[in-house]
Amino acid sequence: MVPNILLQIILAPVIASIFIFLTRFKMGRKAGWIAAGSLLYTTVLLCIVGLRVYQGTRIYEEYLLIAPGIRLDLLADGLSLPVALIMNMLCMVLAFYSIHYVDHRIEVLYGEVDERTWLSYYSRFFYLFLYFPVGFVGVALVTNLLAMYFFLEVLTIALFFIMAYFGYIERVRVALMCLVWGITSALFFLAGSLLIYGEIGSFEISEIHTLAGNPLAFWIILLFLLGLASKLAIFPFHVWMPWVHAEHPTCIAGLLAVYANLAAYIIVRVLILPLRSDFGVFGMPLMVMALITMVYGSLLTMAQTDVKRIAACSTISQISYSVLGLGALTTVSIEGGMFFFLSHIMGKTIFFSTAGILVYVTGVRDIRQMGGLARKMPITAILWTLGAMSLSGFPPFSSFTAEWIMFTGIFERGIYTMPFGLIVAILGVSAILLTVGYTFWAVKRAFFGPLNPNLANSNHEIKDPPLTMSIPLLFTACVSIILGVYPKPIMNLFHLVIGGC
Amino acid sequence: MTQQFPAIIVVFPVILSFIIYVVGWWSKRLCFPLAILALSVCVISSIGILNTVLKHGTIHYWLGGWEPPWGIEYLVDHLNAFMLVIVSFVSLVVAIYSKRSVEQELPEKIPQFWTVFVLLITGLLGITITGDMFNLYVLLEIASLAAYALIAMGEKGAVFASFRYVILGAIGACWYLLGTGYLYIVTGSLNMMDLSQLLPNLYQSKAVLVGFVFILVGVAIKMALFPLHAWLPDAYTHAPSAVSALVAALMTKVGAYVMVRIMFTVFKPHFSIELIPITTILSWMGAVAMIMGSIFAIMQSDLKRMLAYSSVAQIGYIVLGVGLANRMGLTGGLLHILNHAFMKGCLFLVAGAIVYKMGMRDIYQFKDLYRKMPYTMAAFTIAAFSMIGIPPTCGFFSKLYLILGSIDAKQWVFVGFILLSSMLNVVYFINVIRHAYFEPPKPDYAHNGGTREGVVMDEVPLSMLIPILVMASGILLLGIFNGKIISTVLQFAIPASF
Repeated sequence: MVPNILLQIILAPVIASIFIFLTRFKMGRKAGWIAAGSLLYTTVLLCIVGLRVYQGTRIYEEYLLIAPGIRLDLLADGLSLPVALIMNMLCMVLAFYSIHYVDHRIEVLYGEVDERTWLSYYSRFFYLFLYFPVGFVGVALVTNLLAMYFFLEVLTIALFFIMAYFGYIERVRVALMCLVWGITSALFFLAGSLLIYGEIGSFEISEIHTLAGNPLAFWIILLFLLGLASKLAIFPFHVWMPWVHAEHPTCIAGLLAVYANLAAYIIVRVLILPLRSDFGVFGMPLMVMALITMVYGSLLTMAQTDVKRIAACSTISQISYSVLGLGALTTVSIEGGMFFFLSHIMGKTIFFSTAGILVYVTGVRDIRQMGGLARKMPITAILWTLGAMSLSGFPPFSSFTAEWIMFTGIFERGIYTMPFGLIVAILGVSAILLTVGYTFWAVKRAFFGPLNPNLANSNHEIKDPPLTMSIPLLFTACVSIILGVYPKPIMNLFHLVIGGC
Repeated sequence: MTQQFPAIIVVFPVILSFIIYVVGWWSKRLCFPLAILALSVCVISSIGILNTVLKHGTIHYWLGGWEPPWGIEYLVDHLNAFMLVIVSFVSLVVAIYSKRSVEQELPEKIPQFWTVFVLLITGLLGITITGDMFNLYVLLEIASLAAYALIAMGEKGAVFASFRYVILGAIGACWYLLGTGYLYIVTGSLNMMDLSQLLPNLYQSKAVLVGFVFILVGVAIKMALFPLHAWLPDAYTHAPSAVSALVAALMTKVGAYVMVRIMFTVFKPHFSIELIPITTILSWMGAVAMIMGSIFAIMQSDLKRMLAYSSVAQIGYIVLGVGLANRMGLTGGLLHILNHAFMKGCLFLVAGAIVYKMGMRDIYQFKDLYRKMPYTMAAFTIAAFSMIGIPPTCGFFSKLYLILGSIDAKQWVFVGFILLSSMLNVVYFINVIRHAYFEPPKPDYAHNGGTREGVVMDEVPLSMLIPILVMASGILLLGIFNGKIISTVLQFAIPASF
């Protein structure tokens, strides 16, 4: 077997990043392929780990790295592994996608530059990009609150630099805003962790359950939720999200959805599993907030005309679905919520990246200036439709299955807490209609009808993008369909951990 | 040879500093190699001393063979050995860096600069190694006088800043001397070990109490503990770049060492903690310093002045660690002495490099600096992240231990202070990073064409760049191996009763 497999998964992108940095003037043109290659490697490793976990072994690796008493241990079990695997896979997909996109982005941002400057910008994107998978997988696999805090910070900083270098017009200001939100929410997380340490004298997640029933548990959960809700962009903590999504480069858009939605995993791992009964108080408020966010986000999306913002605002609404599932606090709904988290990030990656393709090819962002693109760009039209179907939960996509499972759980809870819980559940299901509305309305506006005269006359050549951009997205759609038709493996994995609690 | 290291580390640089001055009369070029020779010997001896201490425990070295308490004793335990390595290593790195910087800033005064520079290091090493209260005073004065002279060599305004430092520094030294005098009146001894044996019977004496407080106030002025920091910002801002880096990294830290030594070796911890509420006062002063220093730093537009105020805040962390007076807190405080020597050293070296190349320090004019000096700015970023406390840089860990120490002491309010101060650090460091890295946003969407104005990479010479990079990589390495440092050295430096 592969030695230190989990450590390898985290370190491989770091090493690749350092390698890209050191050879940036010699091999800068290959930077994208190196980055994608290293992520392909870690994805394969995660698949190997997945097989072993599926057979029922928990993989636990111990490293006494950080400091006395603070360990960097890594754990792959039924909950952390699928999350890490899907997130890492999406990073890989987007690394392939970025190979052409970043080239285009540098040209738009910095104009004609000499070879050396170009190489330094191009490679910079990839060596920064690689810290996303490090952060995502790190958060998923660690067993210690401080280590988790560390990986959250890694994500925030990588996001800051990528935004500020490669974003759209207001990039530096928005990057700063995003950084402040990120660090503030991480500080709430840290404050919660420190309170836990003060009570039980340990940062280990596996020890948190000893806190159950402690009167302080309420405040600890509240601190964590305050921090995580601003990551999740739940109303009223959603302020940063549309800004950030409007200005960031589209090739990391999918990752932003993961960045935000990752907090759902943390809620399950750190709060719900060990402290389920103490968490009960927060269940209903969380569901109500999620419901408000769902409706609000959907309405916000419908009002947008910028293709990037359409995708952005839909993230606000979509993340709340998984929060709704978590808030219901039944085993089935939590499993469904986690499954929806994975389905959503896959769907969102397809949807967002296709929006990026539209901007890449046509050079316009305003959906009112598009139209009739289906004939010129058939593959893009298919991709957008796939993304739309996946987001709105059409069978056979995994989000359909996930929503089904999740709402089973939510209704189960709703029946116990008549009539309020039931109302929330029914409203939640109805909110899906809004998703269908905005995704497919956008399909109509961008791809069908007569070809917009502006586009026909512009000097851009309208055609499908290079294969490195479309194939990874089609691959993601396939994974989503496979999981939708046959969800058993992933549900079994979740059930190993969540069901046993 | 090995047994003589404690003497060599002080005597050798003293002798060389005078030789440098004499040699400087007929060859300016020889000054630098001689200074490097002196400091390299210091580094080797300090590592030798640390090694001996780790293997065989505390070293008692009787200067001239005179037996204490009459003779002067050099007493080296884990705490001094740790400090000696920091002082000698950082000063060597800064010295290598200083060569070009001094040639540019002070071409007339090269021999004088190196003479005083080596003398300053001698003083700092001496303060750290000595086991005698009065000897400590003498060496403190040597170091301070050297520092006054070095600071006065700087730009316009330096003479005034130095004079202000002279006055406040002299007051601080007087307090220290008075306090020592009180202890001598009561006990008749100046040897630290001897005092620590004699004093416990006299803990009720008012004279001892007054002496203790005088000494602490004197040291607090020397280490610029808020609100006694008035001399520091001007002195750091106007001093020559190399001097700022050296003084900021080491002077105040040695003061912190003296404070720890007095509170926990000369006096027993239970005197400092239980008999008078001095630790509570110190922790609060440290906490206030953390916040006020950061707020003042935010208001500055001059990079060096900003860093100077940030030093005031960092001293607050160290004093908070001392004031918490438990194992975790003091570990954090001592680790922060090491970390801050590296972080602030690195930041001031970078500031010096920017002055060397661009001739300016105004943060708001840093446009495109990253493209001109990528390595320097990368080092700055690492150090800035460490100051903010982002893992895995070393700054995170000292703050972490301080937080854990506050939790152990059940002082949650200090946890809040530390977190708040970190947020304030984010504000002023990100401001610099933003101006140096990113240009003001321009509409990019319309393919408005045009090329960016060419910026050619224009780094400082290698002899300045390498020290900067050494410090920056040191920050990362200290962070990664902080557990090792604590388990091999620091845990023995903390009083056993904690």
